[in-house]
Amino acid sequence: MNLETFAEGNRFTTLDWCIVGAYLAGMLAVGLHARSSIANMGDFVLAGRALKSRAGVATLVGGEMALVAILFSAQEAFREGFKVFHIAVAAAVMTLAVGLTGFIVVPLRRMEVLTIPEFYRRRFGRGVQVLGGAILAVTGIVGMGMFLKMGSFFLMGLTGVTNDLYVRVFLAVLLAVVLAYTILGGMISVVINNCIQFIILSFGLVLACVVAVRLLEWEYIYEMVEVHKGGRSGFNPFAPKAWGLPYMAWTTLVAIFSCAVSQPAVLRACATEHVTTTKRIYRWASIGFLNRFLIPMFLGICAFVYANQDPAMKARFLQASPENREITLLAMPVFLGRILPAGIIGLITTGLMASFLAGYDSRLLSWSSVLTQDVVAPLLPRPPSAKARLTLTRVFILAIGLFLLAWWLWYPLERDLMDYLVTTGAIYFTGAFPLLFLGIYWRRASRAGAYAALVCGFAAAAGLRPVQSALGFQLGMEWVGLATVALCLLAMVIGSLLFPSPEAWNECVSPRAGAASPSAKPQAPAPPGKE
Amino acid sequence: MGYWISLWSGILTVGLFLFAALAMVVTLGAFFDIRSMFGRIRFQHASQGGAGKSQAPSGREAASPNVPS
Repeated sequence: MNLETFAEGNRFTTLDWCIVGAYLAGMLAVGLHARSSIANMGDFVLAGRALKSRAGVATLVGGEMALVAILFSAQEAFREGFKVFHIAVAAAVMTLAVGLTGFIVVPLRRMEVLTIPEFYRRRFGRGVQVLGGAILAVTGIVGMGMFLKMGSFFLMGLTGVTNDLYVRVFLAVLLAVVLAYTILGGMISVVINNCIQFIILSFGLVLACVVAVRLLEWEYIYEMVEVHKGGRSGFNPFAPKAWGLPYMAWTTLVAIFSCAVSQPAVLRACATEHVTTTKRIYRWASIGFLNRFLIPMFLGICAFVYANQDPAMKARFLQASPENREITLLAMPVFLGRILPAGIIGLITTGLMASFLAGYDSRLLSWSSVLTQDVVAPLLPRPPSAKARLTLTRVFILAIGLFLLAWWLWYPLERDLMDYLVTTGAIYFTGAFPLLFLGIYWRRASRAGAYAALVCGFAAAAGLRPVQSALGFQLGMEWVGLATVALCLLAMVIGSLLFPSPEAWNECVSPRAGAASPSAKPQAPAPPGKE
Repeated sequence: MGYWISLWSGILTVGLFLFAALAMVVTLGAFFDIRSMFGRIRFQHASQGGAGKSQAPSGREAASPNVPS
């Protein structure tokens, strides 16, 4: 593709680069400052469990508002029209439901686990912890393999920089910054980055929507979607040519997974100062979970309408060949680069850059802490000291960062990015959901059932097109995902009934367990005058 | 189709207003929450007898069989 033409009409100026530079320097300073507050794994991974409501909302929403999610949401809406809005509604409703009921996250917070596999150990034993931790870390790291690729799309589209060398150098600098502040400050740095990101992006994206509507006008936007997206099926997700119930059921399940089963989200839930704070954060974050999809989707639709007016964008994005369909990921950044004034672009670029870093920081922290706590430490003959765990976690962060850089430089990830991301996530989610759901809410869930469910999660790999071609069938990801969830739940139930294990539910999950355990006084002491 | 246009317009408008309001609350409060977070962590370290310097595990970490006490 001819990338040079992306620079045409772009308004990114030196002022915008200065704003971006100041932000990156600021994040390094944050990491250095936060380092002095890190004494143990609890501080490093969970910010000392001292997270309050407003910062908690910012970090929960910010962590999920990663650049990858923003670009994919915009791309989906660019292709499909308004009907994708149901994904945003499902995310909001499910997050609100978790906030009201405390589904999964409150028991985990009450048990004071550092990671999800730590719950596996307490409930099902060490073997399940190691297997579950390895699956979680490997699928998570592999899923991150495409983030730098997405970052390059975003950078080219928004800034107009198309020189491959410059893009690579700049992304390497970004990766170095995120590695530095995460290694130094852990969760404390992550929370601060998420707050900056949330504040800038929320105002910036709302402003971008206002500018887009003023430029294109509501009626024209609806008219263009109606004309070009097949009339009703551009708006109605139940329309005959639209997705239908299976797809909506799958997106609803994914919405539950992303707020209650995802390790980065659970990290935030467990970092709160109190169980009631966890529930409050989820209730308020439901607004953010609605808009993390809704706003990028609306901007994606506006980009589609704008592309129909602009001959250069039309040729590039609307007449792209099916093999080159990933080019539409660039449509929303290019659109923003053309309509926003200088200064505002820099602000939004900074917010989006923060969301790019947010896609890395909490995940790096999650996977490295899981590798340390749940894969390496249980396999060592003697448990490592607290200091050794901290060092090992930092080494894993660096190693994962270098691995991702090498993968991006050498592995050509050109097509089916969405399939790739969804499938790697689904392998973990589908296996982990029965362990968390039934492990917490069903006394008879056993170790054998847990092993069976984790192994059955690999059936989600059938969602990949090369796997389907090899096996000689063709199914949408929603069917594969729903079938895999059903299979894993069934495996968990059958395995638990056939091979019951000694009662562990009362010892770790029961609300009474906290009162009996040495960690029942779970709240950290409050500083005088702070409560 | 008019129903769907009204529905999505309503959700988008209400969503944007709520998001802007949430952003204002978070903007005003996040600074205080972060300051409080640092204070709380420092207090935890102080109450554990200078754990910040000695790398002592805290809370559940110390109680967990997975972590040495």
